[in-house]
Amino acid sequence: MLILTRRVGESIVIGDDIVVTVVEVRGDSVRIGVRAPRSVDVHREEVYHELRRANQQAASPEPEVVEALRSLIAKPVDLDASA
Amino acid sequence: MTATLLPLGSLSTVEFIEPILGFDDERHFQLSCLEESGVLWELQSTRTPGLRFVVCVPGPFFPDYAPTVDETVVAPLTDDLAELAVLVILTVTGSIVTATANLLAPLVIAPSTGRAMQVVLADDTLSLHAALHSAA
Repeated sequence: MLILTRRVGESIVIGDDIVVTVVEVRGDSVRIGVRAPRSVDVHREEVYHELRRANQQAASPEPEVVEALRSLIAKPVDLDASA
Repeated sequence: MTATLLPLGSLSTVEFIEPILGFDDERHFQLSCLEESGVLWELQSTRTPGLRFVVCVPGPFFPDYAPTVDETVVAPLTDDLAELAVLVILTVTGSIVTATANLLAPLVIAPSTGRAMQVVLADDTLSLHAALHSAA
């Protein structure tokens, strides 16, 4: 891993069109600005992995689950008020 | 089933201009409503018959949920940002009681263009797995 020392306000350039800037350092946290083309997704690493996993978990629920969700959401309907 | 919730009801096919993370090859989904109140929807991949997501309008379950998204992020969806609709992906891994909604990374859809993207919000208090049951 390349390790660089930067001060607040300084940046690093990755490739031709990605600029990473140190915005603020406070205690053990660092605020970082990223300027990148729209085609480049930028995520916090842990969120990236968790979101991938969450999307995989959500994909293609069983039909009975979908049915249960429908009944959870559907308003009770009085089908036979005359009875 | 007839979709009753406008303006999403006028949509049939949704194009994800940014893929749902983990589903890079799945760009086109059929959007259909699953029940009359227009809360519960299904996104069915047009490419992979077995792939679908169940999504819902967040309001009825999470009335305080008001996601804010940077305009430059969603600008490619539409010229009229006021029309943007938000749906959240539901996850049910076991019993319906454990159903959760992904509030941190909602789907933002532009009804007039059919374009959509999954957006990761900057709000750290939001969960990828917010319980639907306790919210109902």
